Amino acid sequence: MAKNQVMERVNLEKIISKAEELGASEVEVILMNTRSREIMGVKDRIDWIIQSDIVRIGFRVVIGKRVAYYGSEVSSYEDAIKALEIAIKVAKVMNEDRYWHSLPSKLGKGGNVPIYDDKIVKLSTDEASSLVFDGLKMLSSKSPIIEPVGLGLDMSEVEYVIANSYGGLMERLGTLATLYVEARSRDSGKEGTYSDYVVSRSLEGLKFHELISRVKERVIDALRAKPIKTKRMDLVFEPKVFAGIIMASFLPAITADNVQANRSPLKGRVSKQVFNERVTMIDDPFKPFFYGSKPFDDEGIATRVKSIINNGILETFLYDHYTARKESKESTGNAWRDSPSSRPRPWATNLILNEGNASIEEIISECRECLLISKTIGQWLSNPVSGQVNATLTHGYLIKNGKIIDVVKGVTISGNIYDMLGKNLDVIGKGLECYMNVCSPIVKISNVIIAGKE
Amino acid sequence: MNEVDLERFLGYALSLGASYVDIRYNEQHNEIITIENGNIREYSSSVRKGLGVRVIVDGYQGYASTSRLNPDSIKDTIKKAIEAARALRGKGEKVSLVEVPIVKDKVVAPCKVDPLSIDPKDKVELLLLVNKVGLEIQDVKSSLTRMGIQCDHRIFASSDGSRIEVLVNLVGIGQLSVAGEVGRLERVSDSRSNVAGYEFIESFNWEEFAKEISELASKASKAGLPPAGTYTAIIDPDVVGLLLHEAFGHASEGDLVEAGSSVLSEKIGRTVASEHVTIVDEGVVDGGYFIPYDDEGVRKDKTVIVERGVLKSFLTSRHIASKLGMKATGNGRAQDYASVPIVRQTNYYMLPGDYSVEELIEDVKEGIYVTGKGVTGGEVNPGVGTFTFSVGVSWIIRNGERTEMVRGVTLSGLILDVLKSVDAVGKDLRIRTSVFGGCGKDHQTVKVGLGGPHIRVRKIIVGGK
Repeated sequence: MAKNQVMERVNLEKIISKAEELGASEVEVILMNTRSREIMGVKDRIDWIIQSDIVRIGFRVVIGKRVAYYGSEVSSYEDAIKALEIAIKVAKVMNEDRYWHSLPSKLGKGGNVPIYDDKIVKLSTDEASSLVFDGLKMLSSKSPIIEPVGLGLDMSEVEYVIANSYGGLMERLGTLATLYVEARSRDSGKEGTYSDYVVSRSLEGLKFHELISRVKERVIDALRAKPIKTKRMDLVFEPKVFAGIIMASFLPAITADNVQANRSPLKGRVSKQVFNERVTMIDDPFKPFFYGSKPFDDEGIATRVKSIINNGILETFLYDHYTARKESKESTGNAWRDSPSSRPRPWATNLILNEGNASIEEIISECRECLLISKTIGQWLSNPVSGQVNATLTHGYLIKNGKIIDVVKGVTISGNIYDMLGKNLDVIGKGLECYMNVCSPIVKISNVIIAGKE
Repeated sequence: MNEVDLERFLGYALSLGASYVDIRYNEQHNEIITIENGNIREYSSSVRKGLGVRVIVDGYQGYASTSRLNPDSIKDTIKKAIEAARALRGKGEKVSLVEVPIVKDKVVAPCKVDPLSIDPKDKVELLLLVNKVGLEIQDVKSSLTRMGIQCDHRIFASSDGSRIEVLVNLVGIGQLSVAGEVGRLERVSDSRSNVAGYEFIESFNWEEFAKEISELASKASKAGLPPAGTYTAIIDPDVVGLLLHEAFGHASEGDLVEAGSSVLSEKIGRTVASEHVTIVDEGVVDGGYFIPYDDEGVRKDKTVIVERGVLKSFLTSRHIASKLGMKATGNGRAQDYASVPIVRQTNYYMLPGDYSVEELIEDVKEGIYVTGKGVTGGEVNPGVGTFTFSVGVSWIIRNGERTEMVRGVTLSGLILDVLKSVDAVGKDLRIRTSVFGGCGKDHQTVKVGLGGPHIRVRKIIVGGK
């Protein structure tokens, strides 16, 4: 990683002094440098290689109990000071936030976790483009009915530095890679498509060949896919699909900001049974190379492992410093920022549904009639305020008497996460996979409504 | 960035071996103010500014961008773009761009009062008032009111000689209300945005707006879910816009067609919808976002996509137009300077027909009336045409009349089947854009406009209980 050329450590401290000179009672500064490369393969060729280098600065400026946020892309120290002056101007006219306590006074690391893979950084543009080019060839090799549609590889290194008026400066350097693969199949007048992706902080974590093989296999299955009739069924969710459902329907309900604003059905339910007793979930920031892994959160507070659901009982909500102080608590180290200029909010580091013992083969072999859910769209439209789950199946398998007998698409799934992981929970299996920062094993839920053809 | 600098950097890229180069400078101010249950939750502003360089070298194109706006960094960025183009030798495809007229123009979207010049205190006071009205409605547990402002300034300069500058301000207010009891909470949200200055904010009754949304949330929290199944549906303009944009608009984007991932591939001249359906994409239209030129310097006029049910055209960029043997439709758009222009919709909507909303409903014996108030969005697979949308509060129709309200409604199906089952189109037309969201594709989000009239669809799958 090239050291940030725009502002060095000494300058962040200088900016903090300048802010106090201009009238700020507290100030927090974030500097983020993102260098990224994106290689976009289409069909049998690479269409674009895009390289970018962006430096952003963000401020949280406090005057008494008046708080303002400001961020800018900057080229120089002078640009940063200009941005700071605007932030102070806005803070001066803000109304007082009666819940404001202070910026965090103790910054620190909760532990060491690998989030930087120098293989990502050292891969030359030429090598990276060859990887994508070979991937496209691999997709169609030995299968004349498969056409590659797209294969994209994004790689970035991100330096995040945060400091505030109370001293201490936290720095983390991470890498991130995303691989996306999409293919189409044509045979005897029928067409099928399938796409999948992996996000990891290490190059190895992309499991390049495994992802391509999975897409090849499923795009051929997709040729046979068809809807089934509206009915109640037992559903077996593949890990990434169920992780997406947890993220949309449950995760927002355990963040303290939503709870405090009455947007969560879990308000007042800490220490109560909210799921089946077989459900245990943790928030773990120390999983090597996981998407949400970090030694300190986006306010610079040390992260830690915490139990969210223990045998079905809700143990805690997720807090940043502001929401924690509102309840006279300590932050759980879960501050998350969409960008350096945005207000932090509580969000999971890596929210993990603990695995059980059953393998996918064992779960399938015990199905009398099940639908295996491999891919859905629209699961993010689920409603965390009510817990309602909605998703449309775009790729799945009908299982009868332990055997896959058909490929299914185009049916909607409706349910409620508190029933799905409650009275309707059948099996929590093995095979953890993640959808961004939410991870789940395979899960079997009984008696769910699916709407298909009449 | 002045004219002299642009000339100098264009010349530098050509001197390094580029046969074509364009430089895009973009500066974007975003402001968001959020009030939650009577408290200011957030007042944040940000500026994005930088430039992106696109080159063609020996027929291959490359792109690089930077936020570091000093001459040395810009020259480095040009070198990186050239390196990216050269790395495609043997792995990429030579690019040709269709010819387009050389343009020198500056366009400023209508704006009377600069929204960034308004005292932050005035904005906060207005929002606090609106938020309070939203919170005072019975059963409302949470009221969230937001104001968004986006000021976008783009300069485009190419080695062909085009020089285009476009300035657009977009402002709006949104309300999210949550009502009911724990275990039976429901949310309804809606927003109004316009390409305008602060005069738009001052001319609208936001208190009445927040009140209506909170009342709907309160009623919706007491409503049940509809039985899952296939319905005849009357769909309001917000949902029609969303459905068209997501499920059909993306499939009409030329890059998806060219890549073989569109259900509309090879269907030009074929019937893809009922004869009542005409769909267009237009750069400048009342209520929509303002796109007089795309990010390749191409003028964006009205493109007819579907005419009386028959597919007429795809949307294209200069490169995709060349590949498909079509003309450039002005749809090469980039989120910002760090992104390459890709094929995007602008304001995508269905043209109106002859029916009043009452006439559409009165012929329905049993069905559902779905609206966009509280719509959370949708997702599609444009390769197959499958879609799923979570729509807003809706009403069951019995014997030609709207009866009980239902909530938690999702629509799904195959878009071509649904468009073919459109048997009547309303005479109303409503197009909207939003300062709070946008359309995502390939990690880029751009502002779009969506809309149409009310329509009647004979068969659509509704998810519920």
